Amino acid sequence: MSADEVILRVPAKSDYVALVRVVLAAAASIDPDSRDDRVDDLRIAVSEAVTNAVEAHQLAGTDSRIEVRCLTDDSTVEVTVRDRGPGFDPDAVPSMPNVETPERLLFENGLGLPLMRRLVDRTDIESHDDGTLVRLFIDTASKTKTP
Amino acid sequence: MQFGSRVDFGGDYTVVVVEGDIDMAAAPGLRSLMQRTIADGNPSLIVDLTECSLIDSAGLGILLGGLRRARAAGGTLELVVPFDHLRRTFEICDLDRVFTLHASSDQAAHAIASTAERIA
Repeated sequence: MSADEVILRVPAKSDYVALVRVVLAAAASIDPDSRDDRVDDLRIAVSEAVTNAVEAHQLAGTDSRIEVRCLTDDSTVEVTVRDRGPGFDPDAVPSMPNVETPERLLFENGLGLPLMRRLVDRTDIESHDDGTLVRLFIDTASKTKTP
Repeated sequence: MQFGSRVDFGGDYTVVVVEGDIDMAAAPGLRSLMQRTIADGNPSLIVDLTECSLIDSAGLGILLGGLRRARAAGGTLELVVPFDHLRRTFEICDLDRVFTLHASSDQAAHAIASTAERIA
């Protein structure tokens, strides 16, 4: 099977995150060898990437659209999410307090990047002051990574 | 799947049943629902995720905030997460060490009753 590409350009609004999840999960499920649990992993990872993009556009005050590309080749899926936000340092994400301390409950944010990275096989992030490009790679026929 | 919720008021606790996906679009609604419920004098909540199809970091953050508010009001927050695909999201983020992930609302209710007995 040759590679197939799906391209979405969506408004930077929270309601469109679900739309992207639905379309990309459907695209990833076309391969008969794809596993439901891996497609679920992809749905969450995509949700995190697009959520970050929506927040980046809201922060930058731009009404430009977020571009999502999904390239499928058999069970291999590559998703690219490109935003025009102000960028960030992916290595400078603050660490969380120990989960068993009361202080942990004060941090409602900051789970997205680690979750995204744990769900897919590889994550590449390029971020500059004019936008961020996130690439997610997952083999949907492989077994789920253990927590 | 579109987010929805309903609230069942009981005696010692209130059950919030969540349906659909909890993402950045749904999170503000769930946050305000839990805040209102606690502020109305129902500090112990059971959030039932049996009919929840997906939770991402926005939803997890809302539940952490809900637990903090419930405890501050003298109550607690117990989760019903019977299915593996949702439990896995909690486990990846180590939040299964913050919340007890109950298999049923009866189990969650029992946990609340046990906590109340300990305090009494």
